[in-house]
Amino acid sequence: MAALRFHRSSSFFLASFFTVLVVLTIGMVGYFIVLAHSDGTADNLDSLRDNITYMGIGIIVMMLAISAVGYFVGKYVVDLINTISFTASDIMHTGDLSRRIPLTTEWDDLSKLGVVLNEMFNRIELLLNGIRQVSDNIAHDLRTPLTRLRNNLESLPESEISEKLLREADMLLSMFNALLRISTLEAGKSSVEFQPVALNAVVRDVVELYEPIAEEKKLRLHTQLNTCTISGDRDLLFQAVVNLLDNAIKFTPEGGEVTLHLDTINCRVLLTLSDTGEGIQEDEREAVFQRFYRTEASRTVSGHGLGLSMVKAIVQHHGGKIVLSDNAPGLIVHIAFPLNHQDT
Amino acid sequence: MRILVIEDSAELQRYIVKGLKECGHVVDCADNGKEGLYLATTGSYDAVVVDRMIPPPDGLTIIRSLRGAGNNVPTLVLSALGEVDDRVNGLRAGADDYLVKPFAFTELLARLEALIRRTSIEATPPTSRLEAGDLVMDLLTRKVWRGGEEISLQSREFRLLEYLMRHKGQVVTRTMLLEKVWEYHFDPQTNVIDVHISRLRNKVDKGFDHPLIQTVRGAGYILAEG
Repeated sequence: MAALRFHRSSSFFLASFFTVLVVLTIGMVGYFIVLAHSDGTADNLDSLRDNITYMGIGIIVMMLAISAVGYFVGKYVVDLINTISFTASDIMHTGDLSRRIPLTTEWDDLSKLGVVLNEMFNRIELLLNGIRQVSDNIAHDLRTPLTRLRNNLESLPESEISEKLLREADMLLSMFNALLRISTLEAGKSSVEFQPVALNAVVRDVVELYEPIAEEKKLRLHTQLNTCTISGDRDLLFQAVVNLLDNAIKFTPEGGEVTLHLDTINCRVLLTLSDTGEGIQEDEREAVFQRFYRTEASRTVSGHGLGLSMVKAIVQHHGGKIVLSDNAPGLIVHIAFPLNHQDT
Repeated sequence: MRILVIEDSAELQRYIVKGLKECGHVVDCADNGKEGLYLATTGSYDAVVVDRMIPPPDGLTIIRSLRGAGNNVPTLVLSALGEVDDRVNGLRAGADDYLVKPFAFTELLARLEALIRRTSIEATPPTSRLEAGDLVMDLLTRKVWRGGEEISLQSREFRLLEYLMRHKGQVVTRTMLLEKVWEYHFDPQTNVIDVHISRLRNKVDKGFDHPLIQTVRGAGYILAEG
């Protein structure tokens, strides 16, 4: 885009417009001053009065015009600046890089600024997608040699070391798989048709799967699940609840409590999972959804920092929202799904 | 068992064929869809392993043609795609099982043997009683005895044991158990299955000299035949 030249910009036209009006007004005021100093005679007094009246009306009209144009220009500028700053801060907070500044015209300078900003967003989006693409490709292409490695390890004679190596290879493979799944979900490429899913049954199955582990850790699992059906993919929903409950059990010390609650409120299906564990610091509650992010507390615990990213990707894939809050002590995870995703 | 492998990647084909032969299976292979379909329709196989993405016709088309011709040979699809919808499409086309590349050979073998076993079970009249050594399961009353003594199981434990008994003498992997007993496809974060198995062991094997549920390193579990 060529650099803006002042004598071709809309600001130049606007400034010229105001200058003309102001010069005209000054001219008229000057004329008054000249009249005031001239020697008036009785016979031209009438026409002089008429002139003064017209001139006065002219000045009032001109002033009104300046105020009106000034008001609308000001309003337009402020509105557009607000739009630009809201869009930019929205992009920053939601991380949704596909958003753009809505523009109706490209005529004025501010809209041109908007166009340039939009181009910049395009560029950022492109670069970021490129990075994501590269990391996906890496994950994808590394999987094959890694599997070969794992298969060769399998044929080694049984020993403590080979067991350990196998476990690590499996861990790496599952990390790559998780990474690829998250990307597919985020890109919205998964085209599985959504089916009605009884979320309460899915949550109950997860709880039943984890009950023995919770018992071993002497945790109490409470559930209050009302019948809620949403439209979705039951395997993915199961995975999301598994990841959350797994975390809750992992980070809650012995003798603690984990509570799962499912209900329909105001046309939304709310799933809350609260534990009495260490919780997550307020300033980290957004960051934990990033890939590979691990809180200080979680570094000593097994895991690869992809669990919550996966949960968020799955929730968003279902048109839902996820928010973390404090259980003092512990963490509460709130998830809201639209009651019927397909209808919305 | 006679197994047909349709796979275009030479390395993967070698890997599968070598493994299957080592386990005593007779293996034929094809590296493209045309030859694969020809072999599958003319030969008689106990199972077919077919890659989804091969020189045409692709894996799913082969399965559709076989099913269209009334051939019900058990088929297992291999795919690099591995997303849920691909699995759904594969199964919809008539495949019996689906395995995502890359996979562990033990996983492929366990699934193939389960498939072959299933078709042979389907050929025999349905039974209401499963047995493995001195372990007896009545599917109608949902009761289990070992050495004449009744064992009380929760419903999921019952289904877990039922699956193991139906595949006694065969390796079943953790993923297979998750898919067939819990009926969800997902990546477990921790080894939840191990905890369930150890509980089941406590009920079934505790106090007996001869443990029936055995762990197979790097693969899964096996229920001893007796």
